[in-house]
Amino acid sequence: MRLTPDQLWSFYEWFIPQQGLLQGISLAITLAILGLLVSYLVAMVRLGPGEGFYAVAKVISDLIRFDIPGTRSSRLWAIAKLSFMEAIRRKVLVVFVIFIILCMFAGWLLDLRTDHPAQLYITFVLSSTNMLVLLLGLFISAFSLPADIKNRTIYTIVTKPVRATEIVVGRIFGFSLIGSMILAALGLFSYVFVVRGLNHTHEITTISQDGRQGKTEVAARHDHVFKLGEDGNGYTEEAKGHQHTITAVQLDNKTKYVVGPPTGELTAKVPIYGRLTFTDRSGNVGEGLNVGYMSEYRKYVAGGSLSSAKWQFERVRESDFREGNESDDDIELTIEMNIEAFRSFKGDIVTPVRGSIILRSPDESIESQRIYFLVKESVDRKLISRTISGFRNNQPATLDVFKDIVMNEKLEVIVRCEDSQQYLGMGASDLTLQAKERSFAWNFAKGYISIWLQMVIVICFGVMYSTFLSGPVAMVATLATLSLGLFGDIIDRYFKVEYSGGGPIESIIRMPTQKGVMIDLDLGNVALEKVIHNIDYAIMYGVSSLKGVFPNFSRLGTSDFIVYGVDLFDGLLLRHCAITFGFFLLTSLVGYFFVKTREMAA
Amino acid sequence: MNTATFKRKIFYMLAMVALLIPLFLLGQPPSGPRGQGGTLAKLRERFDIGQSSLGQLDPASETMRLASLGLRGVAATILWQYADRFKEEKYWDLLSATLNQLSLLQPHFVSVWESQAHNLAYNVSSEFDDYRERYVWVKKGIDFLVRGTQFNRRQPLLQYHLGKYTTLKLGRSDEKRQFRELFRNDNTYHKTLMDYGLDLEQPEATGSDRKPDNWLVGRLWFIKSYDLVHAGYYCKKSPIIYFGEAPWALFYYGEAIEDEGVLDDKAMFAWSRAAKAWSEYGNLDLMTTWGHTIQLRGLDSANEATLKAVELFREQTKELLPELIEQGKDRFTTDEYALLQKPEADRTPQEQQMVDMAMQKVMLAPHVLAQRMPREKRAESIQLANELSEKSDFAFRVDRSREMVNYQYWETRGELEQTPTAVAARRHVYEAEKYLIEADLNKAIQSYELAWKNWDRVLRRYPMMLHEESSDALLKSIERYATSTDSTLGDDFPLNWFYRYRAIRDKNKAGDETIRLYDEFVREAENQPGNLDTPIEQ
Repeated sequence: MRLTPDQLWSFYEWFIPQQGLLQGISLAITLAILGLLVSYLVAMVRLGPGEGFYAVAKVISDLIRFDIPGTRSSRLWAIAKLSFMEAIRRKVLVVFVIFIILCMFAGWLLDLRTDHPAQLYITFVLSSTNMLVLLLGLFISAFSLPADIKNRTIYTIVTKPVRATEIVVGRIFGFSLIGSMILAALGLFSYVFVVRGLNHTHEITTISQDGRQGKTEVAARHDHVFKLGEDGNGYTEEAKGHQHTITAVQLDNKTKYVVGPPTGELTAKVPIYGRLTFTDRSGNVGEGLNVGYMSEYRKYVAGGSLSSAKWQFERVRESDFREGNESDDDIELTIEMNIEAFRSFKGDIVTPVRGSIILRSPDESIESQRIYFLVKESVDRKLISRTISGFRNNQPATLDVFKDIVMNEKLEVIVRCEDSQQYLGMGASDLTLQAKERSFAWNFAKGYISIWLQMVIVICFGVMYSTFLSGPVAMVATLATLSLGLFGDIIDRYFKVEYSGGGPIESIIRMPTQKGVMIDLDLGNVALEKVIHNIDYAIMYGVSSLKGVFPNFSRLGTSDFIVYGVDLFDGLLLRHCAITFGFFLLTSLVGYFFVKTREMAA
Repeated sequence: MNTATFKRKIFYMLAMVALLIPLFLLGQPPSGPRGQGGTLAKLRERFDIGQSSLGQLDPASETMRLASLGLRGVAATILWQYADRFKEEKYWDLLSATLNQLSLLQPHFVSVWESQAHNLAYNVSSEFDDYRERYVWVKKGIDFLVRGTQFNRRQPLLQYHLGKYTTLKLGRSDEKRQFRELFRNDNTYHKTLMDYGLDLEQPEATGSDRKPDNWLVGRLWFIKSYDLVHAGYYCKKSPIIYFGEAPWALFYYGEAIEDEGVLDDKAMFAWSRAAKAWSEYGNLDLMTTWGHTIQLRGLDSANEATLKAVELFREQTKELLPELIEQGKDRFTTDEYALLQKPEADRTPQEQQMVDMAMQKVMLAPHVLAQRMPREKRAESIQLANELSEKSDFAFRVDRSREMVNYQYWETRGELEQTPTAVAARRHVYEAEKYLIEADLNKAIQSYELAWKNWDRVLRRYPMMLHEESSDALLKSIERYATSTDSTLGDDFPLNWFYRYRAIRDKNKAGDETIRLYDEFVREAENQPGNLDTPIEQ
């Protein structure tokens, strides 16, 4: 799983040094100024310049002097309860039924021959829940207020001492509550679906004469080979992303081997990421090599030279690596690697390319001996015992990894390629230290919290649009916001001309004329083509800029963490909570403004 | 109720009822025997483009298409873009899942199956270093195509590609040894292929070790493709190449097992089977781009027919020859002119050859010559000229088609490789090289010396082999022998003539000396063919 650098920031790091707070404040100020200007212009057209200014100022004044201080939780709760009941009456619980039907027919839609069924199951439940819940939020929030206005039931509310803030925020709370209930039920069902769907065991079909190895039967479209120790217990080899333990049991004076449930596929690993730098063939700081791939994610080090990759880790604490009740001596440093080999000549294709790892202290005075490895195509896990041979000030020594090599919670890990004329490729997330795992169930729940945050944002926008648009139009506007957020990356790529075929106007011309995207437009009129190109550019620029104002749902999505079994960082989740709160404030204020200025009472 | 509104409502209802009639006539689905249903159903039946006649109906595919609410094209476009991005960023599992979704959305687009199967088997597999992982991805590509055949049962092209991947990708890549070994022992995968209707337990699919061999299994896919073409479905491949794939697979199977050390009667049988299949292929009527069919084995008869036509035409137009000779007198040498004056019956074969070459300087095209004939003979001459032209073109096309598939080479190779002497020659080299690796020099030399004697016979009998890959490998073996024995390969070395010839050829390429020597070898082979039925074993 690849992470972008910003995902690794802690909450504080994002909030202050990376200017998250500052960006939020500047966005709020910019939007406020723009909003006020637009409001004033509209008011000026309706009421004249003086009256218009007065109307806008009165709304701001009412907000600060009366509506915010006068907002009462009892009334908020009353509106929330009303919205909740309204949603129930609209049969939103059918979402639950749809989800169950989807799960029942999951076998049709999922390719169960995949090598990672756990990832498939988790992706399925998270994606379908995400979509269903966002659409649910969209529909219940967009139609509520316009329906009340159309049916005139809104007047029974606004004629009571209910403040505009309470109308808007109360609805948001009410819809969020019903959404939360449904999401919680879906989450629970999904968890059971995943755990039960992946649960299986095998019978043993063949076992060697010495009783040390064998093979299991095929179950769930795969089988395992296994090795046993002298006591008859052992592990199967990994297949389809998991293993089983095998236990020898004495039954009627015979040894029976029992295969346990799958382990290792539902995980919440806690990776510690480091900062990656490269040295060139002479050992000087460099950029890492590009061997010709388009993707810039991985850079390569050359074998048989001083070229290396260096990760610098911080916050390396011994206690993070202690599993259960392990004694100090048993603590091991776990390194997980996903390194790629590139051959400049085939050579011996049976033997993988060789690499080596060196652990080094930050001041470079202490380093371990080389730990050799053969490149695996999948994730490779290295357990390094805490006592290791190495060098202290160039003198051979026996070292303690945590006491000698790790200094001030900092550690360096260097990787080299040992085969001359071959290369090893790696990106920043390709080598991590693995602290002890956390609970998969809690990680799964955090994934659903992420979905909840997205749902709340959609509800906020739906309610906001419904304060000044009719129901269907508010729904379309919310859908457009959602689409921009989900497919924003694709829009950016079109804007940066990474995809051929031009913009919307050019597409409208290409489609009926059956012109493929890889050929020129060629209308026979260069000036016309230029005009079309410029209009498209303006449209795409507008859309791309607009996208920046709205929430980026693809970045708010954190399902990859759950799918790939990585613990969702608390800092990232807190950041998303802060962003959600920011959008809540923004949409509430805009909604308040429109409710206040609409003439709801005749 | 308002009268106008009422009237409008009644009008709408009547219009809806009226429109239901043509809708029913057009769209009624078939619910009984063939030929029933509305106009559209009948048209689908007639042109064989109904969903069920294209291939199996998959509920997942139908569900996805319905769920896209008419935006299937948009969804497919987005998925293609995601697939490209995942491939660029090397998210292989996501790529595989996306391709699966694409195949569900567009199950009847053959190009989806073709291009993405190629992507998986060739592009993605090469990204991995471990050959086992490469094999897994080649299998995924093959599996993807196999699923495609279920949705497109009348597309011979998909079976054809399956044949190509199973034969070439597993059998000719750098990891061919490892891939073939993995395929042979991949019982789980064999069961999967058998579930798709391919019988891997029959002798046609199993190799010398009674396990499925990739070349033979690939051949079965080619045969399935041929069956569809014979049933009338179109395959956009050149028939000459297309129908040659199955016999080629047998030839490469023979090569592969010999390379792996199977050098006994099993190898002879494999080559004999290949030669027979090649001969059957040569007897097929194959459509060409010239709009007519040919048989690849029909070159001799085509040449005979051409010669006959030439004789007839010459007989018809011989009265013009003196005139032509006189007109072109200045172009002949004195000797040539003298020979031209000599009666044909008195000329020796060499003189006749010289005369034929000299006449090339003045001879006109048959149609031009025919036009010069006297009026009473002109029509017949033109007809003979047309016939000559047709037969000559036909013979040329047969020859050209044979060259396209290297027909002569494979015919000869099949004939040669099934002989005991050829198999023995290869076996002795194989054993010698095994002894060299084991550092048993004496045994290695003994085996080499037997090998040279047998190879001497083989190459003298089939000089064509002097220019082939086998001869390059033989040269390397000779060099290893020379190094091991510190030998200078003197005159008593049985393959001295071959060694010298290769040295000259490698220096001169297709120079005069090379051609002269080669012609000599060919003449010698024709005059003294030699017997390859009894190899030299002492």
